[in-house]
Amino acid sequence: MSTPYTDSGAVDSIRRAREEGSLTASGSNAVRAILGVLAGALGLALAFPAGLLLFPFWLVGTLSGSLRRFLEPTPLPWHELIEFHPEVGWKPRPKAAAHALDYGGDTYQFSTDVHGWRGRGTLEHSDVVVFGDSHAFGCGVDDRHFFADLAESTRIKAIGAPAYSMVQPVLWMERMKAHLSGKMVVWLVCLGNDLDDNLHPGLHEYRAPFARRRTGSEEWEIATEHVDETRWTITSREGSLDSLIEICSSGYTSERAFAAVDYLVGRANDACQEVGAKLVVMTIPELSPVARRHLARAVPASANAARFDEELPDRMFSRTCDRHGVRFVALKDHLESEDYLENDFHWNARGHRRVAELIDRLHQEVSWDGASKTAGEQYDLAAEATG
Amino acid sequence: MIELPTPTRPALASFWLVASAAAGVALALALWILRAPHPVTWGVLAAAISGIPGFLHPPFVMRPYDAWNRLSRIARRAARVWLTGIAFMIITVVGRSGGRLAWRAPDTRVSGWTPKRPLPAGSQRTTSDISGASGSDSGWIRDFAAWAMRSGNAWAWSLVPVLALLKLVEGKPTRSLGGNVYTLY
Repeated sequence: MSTPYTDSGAVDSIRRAREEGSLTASGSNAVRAILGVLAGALGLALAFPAGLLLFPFWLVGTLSGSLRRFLEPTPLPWHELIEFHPEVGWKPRPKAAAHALDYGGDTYQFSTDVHGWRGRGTLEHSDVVVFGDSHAFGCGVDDRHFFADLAESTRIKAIGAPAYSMVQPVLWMERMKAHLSGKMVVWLVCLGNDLDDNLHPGLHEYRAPFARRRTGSEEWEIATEHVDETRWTITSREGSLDSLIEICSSGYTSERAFAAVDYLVGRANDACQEVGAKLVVMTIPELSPVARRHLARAVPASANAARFDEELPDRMFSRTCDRHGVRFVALKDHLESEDYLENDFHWNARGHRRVAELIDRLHQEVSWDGASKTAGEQYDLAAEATG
Repeated sequence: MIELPTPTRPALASFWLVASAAAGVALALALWILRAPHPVTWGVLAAAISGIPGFLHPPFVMRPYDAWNRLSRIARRAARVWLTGIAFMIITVVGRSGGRLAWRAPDTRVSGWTPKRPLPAGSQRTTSDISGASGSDSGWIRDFAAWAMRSGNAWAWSLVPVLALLKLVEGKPTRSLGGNVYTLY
């Protein structure tokens, strides 16, 4: 059996054959070049209509692209938007005045105060303090549309940062409880990813506090000992709607996620009760067109399709809040798809306005006397507003 | 550059401004041909009036933007099929002069395989005839022309205009929502 590539003589003979042109069966370069020129000329003539067809699209694309670069402000990348915080992991950069990118690639203008929180108000002079993730930060809308600055008769301070789970707000409530005394505390919980993120020790390369069961016990705790400035290298967070689908389908993951929620709501309520603040939990539904489109594809393809129950998180939150004597508001009863950005998961200007009105009404309600209403006595503010 | 990018607000506004300017130019040209008075003034006025709504409220432009992108996709696909056909036509015509490889080797010890010299350990240098140093988006014409000359395929230069147009109409991968949809939320 011939093994030409281990035989240097064979390799040399191939090279010689190529150099001598004995591997060329017929035709010469000159003939090919002449034929190439003729065929190329014919090809150019034939390509002209295609060029003519494409020209207006190319022209509009090029001109509008140049103009767009001129109109578009330069956004801050994510890592420039935040700074490291021991224990909590990260927080928005103080005194920032910049633009950031939303999921759809649009820029939005934002500014933060001396502590890194968005909005004109201060924690000390607020009636309502809102904790949460990117929704509480106002991702996707300019400052002038930010809900915390829109309420007519209520001074709202928002304490939120992109990518927070429910764990960071609990830590902030505990750290800030001296400033929460006698106030209404609204906790915005994003059902799409918070329940999953509660259980993960990192978000991409950032270390994050998370909820875990104590070893050998049914008790839960918040783990922060791993949070430092070094890079987190284990990517356990999927960050996809698949996690939401799994949590919305009864099973081990779902049970674990809601056990963590129960612990976190209880811990947050303890912090609020300690200073006479009243906690209101608001769940944020996945109503954005982009999330609906993705869910419509992901649910049928999931192994949990038969058990998927999108109402499950709100039912579980209602039960948990009821158990802890915490007010519960499901924002799905107050928001609709039109309140969300077209290409992003966050609220648009209209959504922010509606949330501001809702918080305003909730705070102004005559029945708000400091006594906790349970989830069983849920307000139907939308009905009140329309009635 | 054939298809417009994700419809962000600046993208919508700039598209509408360009479209309004084009409409203004078209109107001015038409008026000039018809010998109407002040064609430039009317053209500028038309461009300004039609441009303002889209500039101030970009979502207003979403439908025309989508319609333009649908049209450009159709044009791009049609042009791609047509240009690919032309490229194959050129190759076929040149190929009529005969192939360069002998399918039946004159010597049983001669292979059609291209011999490769072993590279030093750790070397990642390509052994291909065509340089892989430059990316597909930059300097590919120079590399292609150099390869054609070096390898005795000067006829391949005739493909360059068609390949350049094909490069213009090649599709870009569409944005998918899979994976980390909640990247930083």
